[in-house]
Amino acid sequence: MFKNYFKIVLRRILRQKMNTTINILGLSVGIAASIIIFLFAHNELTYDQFNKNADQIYLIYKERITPTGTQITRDTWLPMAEALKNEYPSVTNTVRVWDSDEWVELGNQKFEENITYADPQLFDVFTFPLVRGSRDVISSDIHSAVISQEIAHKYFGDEDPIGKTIRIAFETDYIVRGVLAKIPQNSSTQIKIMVSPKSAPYYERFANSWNASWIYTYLLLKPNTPKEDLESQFPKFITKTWGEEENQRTNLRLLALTDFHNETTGARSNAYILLIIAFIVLAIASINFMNLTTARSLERAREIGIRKVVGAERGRLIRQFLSESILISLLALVLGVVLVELFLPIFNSLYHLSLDLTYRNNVITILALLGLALGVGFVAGVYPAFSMSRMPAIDTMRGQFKNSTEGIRLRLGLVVAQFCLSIILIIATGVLWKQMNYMKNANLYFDKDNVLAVPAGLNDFADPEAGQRALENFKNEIRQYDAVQSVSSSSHIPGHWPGAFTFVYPVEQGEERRLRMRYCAVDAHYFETYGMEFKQGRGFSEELPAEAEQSVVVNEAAMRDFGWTSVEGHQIRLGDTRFNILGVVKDYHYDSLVEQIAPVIHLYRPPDNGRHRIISIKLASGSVLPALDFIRKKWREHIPDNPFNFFFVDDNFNQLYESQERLLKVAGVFSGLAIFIAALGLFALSSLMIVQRTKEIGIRKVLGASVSGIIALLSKNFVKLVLLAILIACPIAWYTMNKWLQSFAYRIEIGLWVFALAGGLVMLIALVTVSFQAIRAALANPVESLRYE
Amino acid sequence: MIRLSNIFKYYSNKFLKTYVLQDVNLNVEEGEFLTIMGPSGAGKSTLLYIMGMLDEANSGKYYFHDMPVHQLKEKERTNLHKHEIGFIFQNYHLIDELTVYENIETPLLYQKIKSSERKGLIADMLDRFNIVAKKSLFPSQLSGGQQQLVGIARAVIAQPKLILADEPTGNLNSQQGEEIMEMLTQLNREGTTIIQVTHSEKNAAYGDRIIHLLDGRIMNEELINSTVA
Repeated sequence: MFKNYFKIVLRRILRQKMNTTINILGLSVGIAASIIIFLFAHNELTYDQFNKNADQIYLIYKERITPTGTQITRDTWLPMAEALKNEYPSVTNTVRVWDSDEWVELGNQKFEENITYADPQLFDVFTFPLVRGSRDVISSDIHSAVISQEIAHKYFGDEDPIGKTIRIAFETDYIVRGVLAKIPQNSSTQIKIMVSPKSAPYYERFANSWNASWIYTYLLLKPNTPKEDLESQFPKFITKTWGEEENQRTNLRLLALTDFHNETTGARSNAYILLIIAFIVLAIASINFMNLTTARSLERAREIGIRKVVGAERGRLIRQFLSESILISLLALVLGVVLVELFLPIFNSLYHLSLDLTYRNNVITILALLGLALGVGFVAGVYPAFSMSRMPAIDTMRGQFKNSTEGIRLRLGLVVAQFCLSIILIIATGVLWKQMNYMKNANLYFDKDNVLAVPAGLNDFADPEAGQRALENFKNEIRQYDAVQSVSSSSHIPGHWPGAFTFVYPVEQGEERRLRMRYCAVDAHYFETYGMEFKQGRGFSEELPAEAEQSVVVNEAAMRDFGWTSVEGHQIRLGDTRFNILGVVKDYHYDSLVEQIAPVIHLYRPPDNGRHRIISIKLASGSVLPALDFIRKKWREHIPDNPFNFFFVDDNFNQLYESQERLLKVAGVFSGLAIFIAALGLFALSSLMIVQRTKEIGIRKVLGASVSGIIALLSKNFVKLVLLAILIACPIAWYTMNKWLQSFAYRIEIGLWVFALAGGLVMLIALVTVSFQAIRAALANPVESLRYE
Repeated sequence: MIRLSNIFKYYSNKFLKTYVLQDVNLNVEEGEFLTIMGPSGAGKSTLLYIMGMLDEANSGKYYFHDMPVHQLKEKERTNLHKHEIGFIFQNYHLIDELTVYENIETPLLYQKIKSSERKGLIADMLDRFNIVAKKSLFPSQLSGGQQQLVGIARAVIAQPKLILADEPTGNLNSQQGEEIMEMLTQLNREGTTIIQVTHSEKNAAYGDRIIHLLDGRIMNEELINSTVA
């Protein structure tokens, strides 16, 4: 029986080329799109889950309760891991992790690398297998290094890396004792070179300090320990460690490892948005299938009648039509997988991913793919199957069967749904694009153009004193160059703003009003280099070092939190030091526009201070390239041992929007696909509906209708459908996108133009599609159509 | 074999009932060759389809082998019709996408007959109707007469007791028509009951009995001497 259905489908495919091409092409594009999106979403949603203990691993973090709100930071203290393990039996293991960019020396060669400081328990808590070396040997010596295969190849080529010596941060030698297997791309912990925290030169100073925090502490809990159980015991721990007062303003909490990626990037909502888009594309393709199949039921009426006459029950016919649609969706699946194979590498390189459709040796993937095809085939085929099998044999055999008005209405309803979904996607893409555009072009209240940033600090040098001299000479020399307008050193720059917080309180209010604010270290040229505007007072001056060192510059947000309108007569206190407020700088966007501008305290540090990490160089516009050449040349002269690294502040700032940009691109591509598939469907449907009106068109022409009149007549109904779709889509899109925009601290208003544009675009596409068919029908010679009727 | 009593069939169109069949009473004996005649719109085909269980009367009683068809459920009726009744149409009504072989095979598929048995039955049929050479062709590649032969082969392959033919020669030239009528006569001699609808006096002459229908009523009946042909 299935053989019989199968033959019919294949022969039908060969005979009705346009119909089946549109069906299969639409479906396969829909399937390919959803496979790619699913792989992407799956990758995002399963971050860190490859760890065998994933559901027992937690990161401990703190909530600081301040008068102006709660702040979350994840930096913890060196002694904490051990203390928690001793205190709570449910904590079975711990690992401390931090990373830091350091110089690695290998003989005469120097590389700047991200070094991970992590306890060897890392291998017990996480699932990071070693391809060389053993955990016990590694942990027996704090001067062991474990490297990735990539680093092993980069440093040692084909030589055996085990036993080789590398020097890190110009002072500590390590012996390579292990090589890590490749860590999955969807691990939030990535390791190039790992060494023991105890080997860090500053370790002893802070080993028992509960005042300096910068590390991540991961806890491995006993299986099935609710994190709330442990969290509820932390207040006691805080009181014991720091005292009751600290307990009033700090909570310790646990973040599941599997939630970490989402907490830091908002991956889940993006993944869900993409899954919804995939679902929409698939739905549009399935609707095409349903519509084309039911629209063609007239042609199949005779076959259905015959089958009923020779003894087919309705159930058999339903099964026949369902197996047909499933067969077609299986064909579409094959083509879809081919499309995935073609486009996945492009997608991967575009988004720096390593997604792979592992169907070759993975039964689950194969089953999932088959399930997808079966599901789509079933959903798309079930309505046609039921409606077509219902047609009475007797009427169909006599050729009296007409499309029921119910069927036509449903079909038109589905077309409206398709266009509705397309319009929503287009509006969403438009809003996304406009928000992106707004963020990229918004006034950041600092001048990001033509500012060159050169990462350089004293810890880049084996001999910090010599390094300091070299950097000063370098800076002084480039200052002489015409196109260099200003040079500044600072710990932070806009767009590169690592979290650094300090407790601060207004002297006149005392410690009750203790606040926690971001701080950074800048020299006297920082505000000038970035063209920042002062609302009150002024910036630091090198001529008045004493004044500079006793004062700070704050932003407007800090003034608001202090509750001050004027700096006059106010002092603040950080730790044991009192500071005057020298000036108030206008709020500038040190981070992306997703984030609200928070209070910032700028501390003065002289240019040769070790806190400074980045040299910012403001160049005259128009001479950026020659200036860059000159600066590079001077760097090589003064600092020949270190490579010259640089980036432009505006580029770097725009990289903050990478994940939004990615979402925009994907949404753009897939809404394009959606409208393409919908247009394909409309093309086929309109051609069918017009063919069915051939006789009517012939009669109207004989009676004197004009060509334009007939085109209008044929297009009118479709225009109505699109108008209806626009009416339904706009409020839904408006509501959804407004919700989405809430996640941005600085956002656009959704303008009417997006709706007008999306509606207009869809209307245009629909009109072109339909009128193409309508013109052909209207121009046909009426005698032809009537003669053969 | 067939007993119809007080059969009414009408189509209602808002306020108006149009009667297609009015108070039809008819008995058909097993082994009979019955012809239904009458002008267009007299209700011939409707009567045929009601007897073939493809259509239902609005009122009246229909016994097939003493089974009350008018009381049967759809499933039972389908079952009865697929085992007992074969149809032949003026337009042949073959499935365009299937070959001659596959078209003939279709009823057997719906009766869940095993593949090996199917092969034998179809081979016999092809042989009997002399269309072995055509078995892989599609309907569009055959002449009308050949298509109707396939249509008959398909109707008889399941060995029905009753064959219903709706103007079986209506689209054929006279020579092809004669062949088809010969074929039906042959089947009738072998014991199959045949009911045909036709406009042609000549075709009617092949049967045993003619009923004349006018405006949905049986006007008269005539018996034919079996000496003809």
